[in-house]
Amino acid sequence: MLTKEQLLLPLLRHRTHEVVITCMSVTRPWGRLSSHELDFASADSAMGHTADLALGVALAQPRRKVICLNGDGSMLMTLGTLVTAVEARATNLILFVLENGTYEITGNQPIPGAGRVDFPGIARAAGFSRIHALSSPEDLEAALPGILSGVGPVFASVRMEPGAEGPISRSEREESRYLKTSLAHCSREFRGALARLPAPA
Amino acid sequence: MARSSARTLAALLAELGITHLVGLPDNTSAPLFSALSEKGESAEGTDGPGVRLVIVTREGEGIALAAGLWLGGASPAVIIQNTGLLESGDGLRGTASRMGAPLLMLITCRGYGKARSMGIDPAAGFLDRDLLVRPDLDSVAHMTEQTLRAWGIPFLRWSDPGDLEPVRRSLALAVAEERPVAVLMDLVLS
Repeated sequence: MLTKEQLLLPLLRHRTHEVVITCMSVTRPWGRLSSHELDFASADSAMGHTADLALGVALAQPRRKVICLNGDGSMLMTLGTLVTAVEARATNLILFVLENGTYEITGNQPIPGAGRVDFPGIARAAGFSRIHALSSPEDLEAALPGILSGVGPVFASVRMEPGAEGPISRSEREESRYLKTSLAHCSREFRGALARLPAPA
Repeated sequence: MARSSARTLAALLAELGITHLVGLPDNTSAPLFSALSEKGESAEGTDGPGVRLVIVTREGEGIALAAGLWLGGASPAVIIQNTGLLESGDGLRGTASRMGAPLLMLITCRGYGKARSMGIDPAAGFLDRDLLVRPDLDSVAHMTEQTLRAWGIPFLRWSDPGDLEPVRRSLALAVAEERPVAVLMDLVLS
């Protein structure tokens, strides 16, 4: 299993022009490490819809990779999105599902089917052809360059250590740049950055 | 031969700059889905890339996906039935509304015709138990407009397929006020 740092630090090292969309318990840890203009926190609740949001960005920006750091509890809420992503040919979507088996920010209550649900199997059944199941830092280091390149959509489940992140807020008190202002303000800033920063050729 | 109302709507969406139409079909919207599918995801009679159709598995998923499209710089619209609108509550609240996304939402109106045929205005009345359990009415019709008001979503009713002004006005309002706006499609598309 990986800690958040063991997942996020390598991702930070390999990340170049990609959009990164976070949710729930990974929001703050990523925001502490990165203040990239193409980071977006899907944080104002709407739990379960982060993968939908990321899929929309991917379809709007076909020349740019979109990395979604989703939770397992969140993914369970919108499994249909896996089917939609394949059907919509979102070849630039990279969907990570962080499997800690719990609803971390409400106190680590177990998600339904924790440790039993086969997320890679569900992704395969939905039509994903590029699937990674990662359970150690070594797995991640070996797979990450491949995950971030080539034609997707890509699905990567990551077995995570239990964590202790509390509820997410949007306020000046938050350390992360992308949590300091409203979702509306962040959305406009993000749209501006996408328009300004050239997509990779 | 006259263009069908669904094709006219498809052409209008393209003319208004809509890039993606996200949703789920029902009996009212089916002709629009057909019109957009026939032309390989492009609206008939338009220049440019046309409107791409994105069919989703659930309405709340569709709203959040559309919010992502807007976040990514596209100009999406959504088409769902009023039953699906009720399903999409938190997706709408937590994405498009909180983001201030100027999202045009085309909502087909199940139950409106039945209510009207019985002399009942779907927008009026208290949702008491008798109304909710009546087998000759469709309760969703009586919840639709009250729900939109409760959620802070402006809306216009659209009842004449030949007059597309409610669609134009709704999008203009959405853009001007930077918020989702609904068009209640109380009509039949051909």
